[in-house]
Amino acid sequence: MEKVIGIDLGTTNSCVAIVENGQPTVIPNRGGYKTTPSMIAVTEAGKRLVGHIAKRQAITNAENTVYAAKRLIGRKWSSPQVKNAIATSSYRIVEGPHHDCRIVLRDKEFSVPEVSAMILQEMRVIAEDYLGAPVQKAVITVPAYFNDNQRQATKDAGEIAGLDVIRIINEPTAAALAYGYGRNVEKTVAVYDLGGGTFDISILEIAQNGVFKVIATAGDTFLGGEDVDARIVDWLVQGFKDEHQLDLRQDRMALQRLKDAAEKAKCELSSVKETEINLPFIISSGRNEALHLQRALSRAVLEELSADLVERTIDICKQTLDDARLEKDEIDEILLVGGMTRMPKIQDAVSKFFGREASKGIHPDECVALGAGIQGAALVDESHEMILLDVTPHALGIMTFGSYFEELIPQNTTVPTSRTKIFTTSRDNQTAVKILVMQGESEKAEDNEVLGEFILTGLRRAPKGQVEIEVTFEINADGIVSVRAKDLETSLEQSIQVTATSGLTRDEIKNMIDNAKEHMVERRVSEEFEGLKQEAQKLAAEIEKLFPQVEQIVAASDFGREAIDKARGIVARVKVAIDKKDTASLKEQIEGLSRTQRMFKGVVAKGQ
Amino acid sequence: MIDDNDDLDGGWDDADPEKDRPTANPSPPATAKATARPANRATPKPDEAPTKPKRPTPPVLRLDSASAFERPDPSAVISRRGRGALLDLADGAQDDLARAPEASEALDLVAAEVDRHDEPAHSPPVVPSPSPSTRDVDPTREMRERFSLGDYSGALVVAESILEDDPAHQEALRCVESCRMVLEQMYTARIGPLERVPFIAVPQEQLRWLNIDHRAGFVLSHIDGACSLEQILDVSGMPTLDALRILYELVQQRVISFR
Repeated sequence: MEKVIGIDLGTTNSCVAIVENGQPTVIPNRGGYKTTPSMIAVTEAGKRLVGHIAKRQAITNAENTVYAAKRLIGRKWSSPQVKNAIATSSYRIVEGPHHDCRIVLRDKEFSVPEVSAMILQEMRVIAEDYLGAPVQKAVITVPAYFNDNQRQATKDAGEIAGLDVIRIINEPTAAALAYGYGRNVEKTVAVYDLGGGTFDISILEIAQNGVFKVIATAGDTFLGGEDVDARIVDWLVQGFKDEHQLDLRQDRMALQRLKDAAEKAKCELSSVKETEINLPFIISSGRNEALHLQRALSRAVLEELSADLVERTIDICKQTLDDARLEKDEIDEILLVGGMTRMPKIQDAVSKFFGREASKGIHPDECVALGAGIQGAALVDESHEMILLDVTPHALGIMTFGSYFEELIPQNTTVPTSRTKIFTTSRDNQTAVKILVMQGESEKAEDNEVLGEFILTGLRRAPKGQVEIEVTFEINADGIVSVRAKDLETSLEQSIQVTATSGLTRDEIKNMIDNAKEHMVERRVSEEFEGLKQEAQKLAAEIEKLFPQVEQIVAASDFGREAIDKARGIVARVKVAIDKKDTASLKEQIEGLSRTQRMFKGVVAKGQ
Repeated sequence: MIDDNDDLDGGWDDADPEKDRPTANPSPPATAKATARPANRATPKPDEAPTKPKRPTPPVLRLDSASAFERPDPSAVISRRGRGALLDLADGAQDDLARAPEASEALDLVAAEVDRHDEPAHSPPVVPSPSPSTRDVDPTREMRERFSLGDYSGALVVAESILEDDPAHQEALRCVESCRMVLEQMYTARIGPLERVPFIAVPQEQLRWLNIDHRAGFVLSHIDGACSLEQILDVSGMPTLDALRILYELVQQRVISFR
């Protein structure tokens, strides 16, 4: 059966999981970490860095390091979120050719799906290295509030990364899937997800038939663990300034170290009451000496520093419950997702707000990827009973008089579906109506996303309210939305087909796929060469070490001298192959090297 | 205290350590030099300098074309001097630099440097000040001279100073690029394969007593026993040459080692 990986493509960290022998498992990366920072960078030498290594140089190479690309994916250049990102990001964001946004790294423009594809490709490589086989199919998670364009852009990112994205599922749904895996649950759960860069609270209804309904979701895309890190950095910077009258923020290297140390201290304080931050040679005093930073940070101080941030998440929870017209006691279970929820203060605040302890049954960093992995396995394994139905992530409707949004298809409706509503003209003698197709939950049209528009003309001149127009929304099994408007008097009609767009054309996506493939081939070749090189260097070093002894033993015979010359020839050829980065030649020589090493060892052993 | 610029460029030379120094630059006064260098350095002792016959200033080469600053092929550099010579020089450099300076020496050295130049000792490589007779030497000419003599560090400093005044100076730009490439190759040759993984060889509690600056401290913070030299160069956020120079110094001071 084909393996399907589940990917949690997070704002700050990503994670990949798979179901093996019926057991959902998170796959660690090469460094042994189960999560990989969702960061990519291009170095001065043009080298591409992904994950931890990109994170380690994120401040010193800030202009060329992309983080939180997820905040931009599928967004239009004119959207307020993009404006916000432009104001707060250290990397350059420019307008793309289709009113989308592009990221400039070392003078080269990348589309946002392309950047996300680099992270997805890394997750794919992690899975392939683990499985020892190519991986094609994937289920990727997205926040519940993502609209169709954002979902399509995520799908495109997967395609660019060489993945066949068989399903996009909501993150809270994935967390709930991981929670409900192997048990029969029928509950209303609250998923409190506080990650590195974003906060989401979602209320879900888990029904026995496999339907996970997102009843309400809200959050803050600029609130997360990084804000807590920033508070620690501020505290350290201020303390150092008080002591040495020097501002560590002025030095990028110092700031990078501070940020890394702050994150580490924050994590440590989830399990210990106090930790020491020790950063020797943090900055030059300007008097030819380097200064050291050494400070103890207690959990109590950390809680004080981050109290308002925790409070903000609780306020959002409160608002979300109000919006969903739900009482706290209607929530059966609270699931904590995201690394930040390990912080005892957050666990306390959540318990206090909901009036109950949060579930300990899921892993905060891994559950979303595990849920995606579970869904992936279910989709290819027909014997699996559990299925997740495709639902509309947002309500669909049209704009009506007064800039209001009239909903036709409610959020969470199972697809395929079709709904019809009758509207009337809003002005006397109106001969045409403009149908503005929108997606969202806000009553105000301006707060929702415009998916498309068309005009129905040839209406009879009549007082307002007399001409009736029937509007039909239809979503087919592939998620394609068709909207039709019909003048009921004349039967004249107009229609539009709305397909989600990531802001990229098919040609652009094709080019990006080719580029990504090329990069992948180069990477694999380079990895193969490095592996062979290390093996060859090890063997050559052993042979060179044995030369004097072997020479001493066999120097008397012509045969021995000939063997030594041959061995020297092989070692020399290996060095040339390494210098020329010739993988094929190196592969050829390794066999000879290995034989020589065995022979030399035998000669030395016999001679002793 | 390690003066890597002297050692590196000089280290690649045949026999005469002064050969790669522009002959137009006089040796600093004997007293100043004596305080500025540890006594056991392989570079000429200050008191020997006056007795050593100076080579006549070679005719200045005209280096107007782009090819003037083409990177010399490092293998050619090696073969010209001979592989053995390279190894000898590397060993010599180790003899020279392996011993970490005594704290008192380091302090004396720093004080002397500050007194002499009135600037921190860890500032960019110090180019010997021109003598009164050559104070009006055209910097472009000096850059060419140093480059042609193989004083790549010196040429780099002069070229960078030219670029400070005129960022579009094409010849200086080419020179900077070439010098950096050659110096990077030299440091790489000395450090060894970049895929090696360094580890900190000094106990954690003794780290703060090392005589290193904050840039070296930053590089040191990336050494975790898992990242290779190549990865450290990638994440250092500083020009490759600077990072290589720091890594080389850390290896020489035995602050870092390899498994």
